Amino acid sequence: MGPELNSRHRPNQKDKVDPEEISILLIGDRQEQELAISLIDRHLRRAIIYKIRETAISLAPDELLYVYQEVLLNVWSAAKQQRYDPDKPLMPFLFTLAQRRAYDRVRKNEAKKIHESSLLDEVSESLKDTKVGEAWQIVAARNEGRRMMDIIRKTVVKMPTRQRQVALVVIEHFPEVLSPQDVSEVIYRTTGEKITVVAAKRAWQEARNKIREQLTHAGYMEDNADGRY
Amino acid sequence: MADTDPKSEDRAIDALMAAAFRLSGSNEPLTEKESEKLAANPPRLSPEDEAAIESLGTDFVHRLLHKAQTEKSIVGQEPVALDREIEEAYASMNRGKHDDSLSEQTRHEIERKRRELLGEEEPEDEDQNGSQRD
Repeated sequence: MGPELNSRHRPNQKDKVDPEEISILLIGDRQEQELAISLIDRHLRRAIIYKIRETAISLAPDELLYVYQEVLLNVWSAAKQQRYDPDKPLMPFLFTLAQRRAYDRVRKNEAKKIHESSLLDEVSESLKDTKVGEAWQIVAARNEGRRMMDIIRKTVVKMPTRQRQVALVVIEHFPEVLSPQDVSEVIYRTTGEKITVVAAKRAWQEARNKIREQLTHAGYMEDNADGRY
Repeated sequence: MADTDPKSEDRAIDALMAAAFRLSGSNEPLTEKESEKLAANPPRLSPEDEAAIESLGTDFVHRLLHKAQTEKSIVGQEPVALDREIEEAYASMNRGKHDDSLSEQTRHEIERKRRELLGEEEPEDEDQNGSQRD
């Protein structure tokens, strides 16, 4: 049973989040603060966990919940210590906290550091003289690059664990050129999980195909007859 | 385009995945409008993640707060760490997208390349554009 409502606050029963109401509850008494946390969990659990996952694709599902728990406890403690600022927008604050806690959790496995300018050069170079690069030019010409990046992130985030693990290794090590064996070894080193080279290769290809599917689905690329996009 | 090398095509896909997650604009603090959109319609996660979310049940907060009240030290509520966390989160929201550690020239160069990749036009007033993205 969750926290009881007190007589002063009767939250709306609509199935829609009311950030203003939650903000007011967070600066209320102990019972109201607990109710605010319950409302955040009820209405924003999935969105906060999505943000954590998007920020930290390497986390195991149980670690995802651990970070979510940290976010809720941060908010609750901030409210108890009267450090919550109701004048700041609630939802950007929650999602920023979620991002920060997720970063903290994965900091040890940080992506290989190269200057962002060099990363952009490597990305452009890799797209040159390819059908994918040609498709990307159409995306860019339609000014839909940012939208497409968002779609790619969503696609990776919802991949099954094995594909996501492989995608993560590729993402973190780019522009390094890896073999399926390298990917398999990195996964073993970072997670302790043994996957065969064949399984790594298959998961990698499936992950790539899902990105191709998105480019095709959005009309930027043609579907090849061999089903390999 | 004539037939291309499948390895180059694969490499191009890898490049797009890396760009989607590693370019600095990919994980900047959300605006209020973006937050509302995410809250209203969070994208689906993998089946494993969805199962983990379901496993929390409906009395998760009650259990969590009860545990936090009865245990002296629990993750997420240490006063010093929390102070830093809250202040940094607010600061991060205020900072928006600019990385203060970069020189102005480097930042402009990165912005130019990023716009080129994403096919975006140069903004007339960068500061205004930088803080009012929707």
